[in-house]
Amino acid sequence: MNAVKGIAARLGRDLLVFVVVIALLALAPLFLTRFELGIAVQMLLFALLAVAWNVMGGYAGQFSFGHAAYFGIGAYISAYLVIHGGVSPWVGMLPGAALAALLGLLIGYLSFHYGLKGVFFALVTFAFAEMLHLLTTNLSPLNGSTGLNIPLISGSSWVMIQFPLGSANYYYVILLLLAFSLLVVMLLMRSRPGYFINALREDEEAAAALGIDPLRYKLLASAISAALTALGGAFYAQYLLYINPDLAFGATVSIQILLPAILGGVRTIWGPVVGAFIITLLGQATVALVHTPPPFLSALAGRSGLDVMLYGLVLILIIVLVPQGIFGAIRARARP
Amino acid sequence: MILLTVQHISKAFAGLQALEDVSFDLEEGGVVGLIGPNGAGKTTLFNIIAGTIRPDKGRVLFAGTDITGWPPHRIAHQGIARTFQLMRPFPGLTVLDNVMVATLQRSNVREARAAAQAVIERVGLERWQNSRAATLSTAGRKRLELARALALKPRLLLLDEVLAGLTPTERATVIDMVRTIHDEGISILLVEHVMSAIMALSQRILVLHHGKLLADGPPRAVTQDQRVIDAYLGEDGLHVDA
Repeated sequence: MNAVKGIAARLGRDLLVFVVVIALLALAPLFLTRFELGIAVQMLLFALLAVAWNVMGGYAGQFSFGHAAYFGIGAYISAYLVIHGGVSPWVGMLPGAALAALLGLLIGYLSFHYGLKGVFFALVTFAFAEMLHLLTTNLSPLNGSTGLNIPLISGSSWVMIQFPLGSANYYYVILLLLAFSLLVVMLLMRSRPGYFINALREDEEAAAALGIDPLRYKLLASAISAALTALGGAFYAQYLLYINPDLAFGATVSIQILLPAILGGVRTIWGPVVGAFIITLLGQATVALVHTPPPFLSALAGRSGLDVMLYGLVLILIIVLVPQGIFGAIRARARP
Repeated sequence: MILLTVQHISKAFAGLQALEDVSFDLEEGGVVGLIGPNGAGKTTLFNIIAGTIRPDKGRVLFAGTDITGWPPHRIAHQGIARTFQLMRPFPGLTVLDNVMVATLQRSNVREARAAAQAVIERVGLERWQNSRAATLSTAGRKRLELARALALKPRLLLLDEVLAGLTPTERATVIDMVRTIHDEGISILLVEHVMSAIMALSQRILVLHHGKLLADGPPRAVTQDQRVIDAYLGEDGLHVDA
C-alpha cells in the first residue's frame, strides 16, 4: 500500500492521465470489430516498442538504429522456451528481457567507452542487430531461416498466452505490457536516475562536473530500453505463434520501433503512444485508399506499392512540418 | 589547514607546453585569484584540478587525498565544484531541473527540489525557475552556473570567468554573491580578467604566464611586481579591466 502511495505521490497529475488513458484503452475492444481489434493490437505493440526506444533514443539521446536486436532476443527466447520447455511466455519474457538488457549493456559499454556518438553509435547498434539476424539464420537449433513455430494448444490459456483467433485477450495482454512499460518509464524519469539521464543528454561534461557518472546512467538507460523492447518481442512471437530471423531481427523492425517515437515526439511520455496510433492508422488508411479508392481516385485502384509510397510521403510531410513530433509540438504550444 | 595542493603539474598539448611545473597550496577558507594573459594555462589548470584533463606530470591533493587522474564525477563528490568559462547549462531543462541535478547528489527528489529552490532564490533566478535554461540571458546563465556549483555544497569552488560578459551592475551583484559564498566557509579559486574584482575579492593572487607560475602573493604585492606588469598588466595596470 505504501509503495502505491509512493508511486502516486511521485507521478502526481501524470498518474491521473495514465489511469484515464489505460482505462479508455481497456474499454476499446467493446466497440471494435475483429478486424479493427487486430489493428489495435498492432498499435499497442508499436506504442510499447516506441516507449521503450524513447528511453535510449529520446531521453538518453543515444540514437539506436538496432532495437530489433532486443526485440528479436525477446521473441526468440520466449518462443524457444515455450517450444522446448513448455515454459509460460510470462516467465519466458524474463530471461529474454534480461539477456536483451545484457546486450544493451555490452553495446552501450563498447560504444560509450570508445566515445562513439550519433551516426557511429547508430551504426554499431545496427551492426549488432544484423549480426543476430545472420546468427539466427544460420543456427540449426533455431531452425535457421525457417523460424520457430509455437505449437498450438487446445482451447485458450492466459498462462500460455494463447487464445482463439481474433480474441480480445491478446489486446488485453499487450495493453498490460504497455501500461507496465509506461509506468516504468514515468517512474524512471521522475526519479534521480531520470534527472541524471536528462542532464547527460544535454551536456555530458557539465553533468560529470556535478557528480554524475556518465557511463553508469547511460548504461542504465540502455538496459531498461532493451529489456522493455524484449517484452514486446515475446508478445509478438506469441501473437503470431511464429517467429523467424526477418520478423525478429530485420532492419525494418528497427525502423518500425523508432519511427512512432520520432513521429509522436521523443522525450515525452505520450509522444511515442500518439505516434504509434497515427502511424498505424496512416498505414491502414493508405492501404484502404489504394484498395478501395473513392470514385474520383479510381485510377489508384489496385496499384500495388502505391500505398507504401503514399505512406512514406505523409511521413516525410509530418516530420518536415512538425520536427518535434506531433505530441511534442502540442505540448510545446501548451507550455510556452 | 591546507585544502588543495598542486604539485609540479605539467601538461603539454601536441607539443605546446600548456603548464610547466606548477605548484601551490590553497588554505581552506581563502579566496585566491588566478590571473594571466590568454593562453597562460588557467583553464587547463582548472580542468586538471576538476579531473577533465589528466596532467602529464605532477599530483593534485585535495583534503589530503590524491585525486590525480580521478574522473570528474568522483572529484565533484569529493567536494570540488566548478563553473565553465563558456557557460554550460543543460539548455533543454528548466532552471529548477538544472539545479536539481546537483542537489540530487545528496538527497531524494522531494528534498532536492526544496534545496534547489533555495539556491535559485539565493542567486535571484526564482522568476525563471520553470523556464528552460536556453531562454536565459548571459547574466542569467552565469547565475545558473553559480547556482549549480553552489548546490553541490562544495568545499572548494573553481570559478572560471564568472564576470566575463556582464555589465558593471551585474558584476557587482555577482561579486557580492561570491563574497557571501566565501563567508559561508567555501574556499574559492577564481580565474578572472576583471582586475578590480580580483583585487576586491582575493586575499592572494597567483599569476600564470606561458604555463609557469610567475608570481604568488597578496594582491598589492603581486600587482606591483615588475614581471607581472610586463607580462600581463601593462604600464597602467588597468588595460585588462575591460
